[in-house]
This record gives sequence, structure tokens and C-alpha cells, in this order.
Amino acid sequence: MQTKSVIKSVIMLGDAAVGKTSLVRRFVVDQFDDSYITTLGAKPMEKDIRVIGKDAIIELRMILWDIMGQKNYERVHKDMFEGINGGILVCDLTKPETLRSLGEYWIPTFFEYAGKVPMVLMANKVDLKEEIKTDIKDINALLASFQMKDGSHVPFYLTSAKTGENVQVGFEKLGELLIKDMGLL
Amino acid sequence: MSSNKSDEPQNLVDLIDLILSRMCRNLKGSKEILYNACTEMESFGINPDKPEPDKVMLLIRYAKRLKDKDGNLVFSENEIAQYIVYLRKFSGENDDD
Repeated sequence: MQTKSVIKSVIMLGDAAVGKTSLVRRFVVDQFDDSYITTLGAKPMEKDIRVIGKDAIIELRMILWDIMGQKNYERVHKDMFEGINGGILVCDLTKPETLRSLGEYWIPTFFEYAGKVPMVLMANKVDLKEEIKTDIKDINALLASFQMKDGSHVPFYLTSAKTGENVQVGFEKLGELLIKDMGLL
Repeated sequence: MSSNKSDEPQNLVDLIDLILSRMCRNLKGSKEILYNACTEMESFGINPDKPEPDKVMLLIRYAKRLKDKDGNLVFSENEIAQYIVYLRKFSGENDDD
């Protein structure tokens, strides 16, 4: 089976402090840091994954853009969204308003400027069991109202950047969707 | 790129958003440039939720000096002057720059 190299740009989307930077750090360098630092720039990190395609093994390099989550920087966000191939939506299970925000701002704005590209939702901080205030039904209801361009709905994972739960799986799922979007899967 | 937002900023956050976006466009926009601009914002100590006027002034001064790869200034004097007018409007403070 031949090997094919593909590079795709992926952006992290969601309100401030939902764990976007921590999820990227967990995925790329397998580390977690409890201290919170606001992301101002869009810090690109890279991670290579391997996807078995229908005719080839795909070496996929994901360039991960981690942007600031303040919604008021709409112009900056739009400039960042253009030309992006995929998105990781992130909400904080302990703050239901961060899920609503995905539906009200992040998904519509991203779809408008990047197109209906592949996405995965990571409902983060599942390790904070006692503090979870978001119902799975609400996540399903939100995702039912958005379709990617192949007509499918955005898959979601309950994740923890702290423990690593479902982080790798979620990013790899997006990798599969990106390859599928190219018709290689 | 078009934006739903008006070109006239409504507050300090909006002003920063406008300057960063213009910076990106005037430099023939790449995400790396936008990232660098945002990193400059970080080095000036700007709180993205509640920016302080004196720190936004640092960003404007940075924009004023910024040159493209051919050595041309990225922002015109008029643009910079307009940003300072907006800054004064939103901060209620005078700046001697």
C-alpha cells in the first residue's frame, strides 16, 4: 500500500477558558498544566497522525491553530477562519453557557467564513464530575441543528484535557473526517 | 475580507479588533502575521476582556512603526491619527503622541 502525505489546518473554537489550549497540549505533547493563561495569538502546533485510506496510508499533518476565545474579536476570528480545513469545537461541561455560545456564535461564524468543513465537538472537563451542569441531550440538540457539507452531524466526545480521556480519539476522528472529505477514505 | 462589523469601532475591544484585522489585511494577510500581531498585544500586557487605554496606545504606537517587507509603513498617518481619536473617545483621556 502506498503512503500519501497530507497537510490540513485545524482551528480550535470555543469561549475563553473552556480548555482549548489544554486539549492541544494534551494531544501534541501529552501534558497538562492547571494554570490558566489567556490565549491572545493563534498559536500553531503540529501533530502527525496516520489514517488508513481506501487506496493508501495517509500521513496527515494537522496544523492546530489555537485562537483567543473572546467573542468580541469578530474581525480577527473571521480572518483566522478563512482557508481553515477543519474545526474542533470545545465547550466546558461545567458551564452550559459555553455550549450555547457554540450554537450562537462559533459554529455559524465558522461555517460562514470557512464553509461547512469537518468538525468534532469536545465537551471538556468531564473529570469534574460533581460540577457538570450540561446535559448530553442539550449537546445532541445543538448538534442536530448543524450539518457538515456531506449532510452528517458533528460527532462529539466527552473529554478531559486533565486526564487525557477521549482527547486522542477526538482528534483522530477529525483526522478521519478530513481524509474522508478529500474522498480518500 | 468583508465583516459584518462597522469600520467605526464602538469601544476599546472593537478598536483593537479593527487594528489587528487591518494589520493583517494591509500586510496581505497571513495567519502568521495575525498571530505575530496578537503576540505583540500580549507583550504590551493588554487584557483582551478589559483593555486599558494606555496599553492600547502601545499597540497603536507599534502599528505606527510597522513596515512591510519592502520597508513601507503599513498604516498611513491618517489611519493612526484616527485610531488615536477613537482611543481618546473611548478612554476619555488625552495622549500627547
